[in-house]
Amino acid sequence: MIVLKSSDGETFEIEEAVALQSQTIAHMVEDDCVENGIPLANVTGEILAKIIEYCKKHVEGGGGSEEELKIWDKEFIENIDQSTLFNLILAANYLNIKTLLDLTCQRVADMIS
Amino acid sequence: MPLSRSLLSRRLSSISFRDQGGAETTTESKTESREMSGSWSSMLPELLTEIIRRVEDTEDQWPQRRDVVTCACVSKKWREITQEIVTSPCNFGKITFPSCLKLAGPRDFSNQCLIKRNKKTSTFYLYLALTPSFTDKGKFLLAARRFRTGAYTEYIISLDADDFSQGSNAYVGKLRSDFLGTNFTVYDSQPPHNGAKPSNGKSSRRFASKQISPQVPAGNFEVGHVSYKFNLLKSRGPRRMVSTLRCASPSPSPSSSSSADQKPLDVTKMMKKLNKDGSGFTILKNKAPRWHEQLQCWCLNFHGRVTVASVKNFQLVATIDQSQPSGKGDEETVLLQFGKVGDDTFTMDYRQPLSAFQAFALCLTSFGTKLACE
Repeated sequence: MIVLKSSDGETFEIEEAVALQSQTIAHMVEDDCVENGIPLANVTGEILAKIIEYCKKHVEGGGGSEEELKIWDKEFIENIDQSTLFNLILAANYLNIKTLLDLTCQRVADMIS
Repeated sequence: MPLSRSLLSRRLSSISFRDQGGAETTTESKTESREMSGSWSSMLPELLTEIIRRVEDTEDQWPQRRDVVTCACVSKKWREITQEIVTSPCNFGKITFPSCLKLAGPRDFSNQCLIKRNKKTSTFYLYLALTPSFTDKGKFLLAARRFRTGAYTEYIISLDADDFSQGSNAYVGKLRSDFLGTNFTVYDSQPPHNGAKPSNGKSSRRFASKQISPQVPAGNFEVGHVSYKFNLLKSRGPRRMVSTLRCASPSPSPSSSSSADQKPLDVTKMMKKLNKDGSGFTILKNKAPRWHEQLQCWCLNFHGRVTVASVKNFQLVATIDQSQPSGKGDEETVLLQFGKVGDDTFTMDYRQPLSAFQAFALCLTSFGTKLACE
């Protein structure tokens, strides 16, 4: 299990497989500096919770069929407000979670269209 | 969920207003506003690029492409990024901003346009065709009006269909013909390269004082010539058209910088300014039609884009083309095709190295009487 600490002091304990979807965290795990949990100074608890929700769903093999996953993604992204979306983009960029970044950027692009 | 331009700006700026409001009060709110870290308009450039690139990808054609223009209106940063994306090589030839009208057209296919003529007002309207139909409206690009003054005729080309004054911001360029209507000069309102001097003329001096930014030289800059030649055959044969244009080379090749490689041509002032900025000349001539014995007429294959026979119809190919690696034009590829499809409706298909503005100017030369040619 890996412990993530948000900028506002919340801690989240998640399975390694879930956390490894973030390339940033994956590198930290490789470099073996996750002893006392990983502090994420750029991400608040609220946003981190959303990210973990996304990553849990997208853990390989656990998400269901591709179609179902797409529907879930659509639900996920359409139910968040603009400021959460904005922060999610920054966090997905910081944590280097490509699929989440694609999803959020595409959402903004669709909103502009 | 479509967002109109004002709605988008208002929504995005409302986030920044919340920032400022939060920072005024307690420390807790200060932290919160710091965490908001600025509004959409100051988002990280690479993330903005991701977002705007996606908008650009999906909104390929007009009228949806308006959304790309909207992105450029949000803030300075958005504008920079949008312009970078729009002018990148993979988006070559797509028309987004008015400035795209002076950039070269697509490389591998032609942009299809329509020209509508209003005989009463001597005005011509250029539209980007949005559907294959000749009767659909299309996206308005440029308008031109013919003015006959004394010994010559001018077509003023403008971004605004109601404003043809050379001093306005909408002024794009003009076409001037001699009395016979066989020799034309194309003028651009903007300098084709650094250090270009405007041609002398009463009009340049007149509207220089109305300029908003004095740093940009006002005036008309010669960027091309078109001439129609005598038809030597007695029968009503097609006229010969030759055009020399300064085209911005989409991918300037270093090998074309030596003037010694150029074919010797008729002397024009432009020859001496060749390649100072990597833009060279393109020489175009019209593709000769073939005489069809059975139909007893001259035929050119317009691929369905021209449906009414007219002496105005033409296809231009390049003999000298700086966008080609050798500088020599491929005399088969039709770079500009113009032809009649209705009483006052014409199609115009153009591609690199011609820009929409140049193509329009070339087509305008086909209107009007050619006293010595027919």
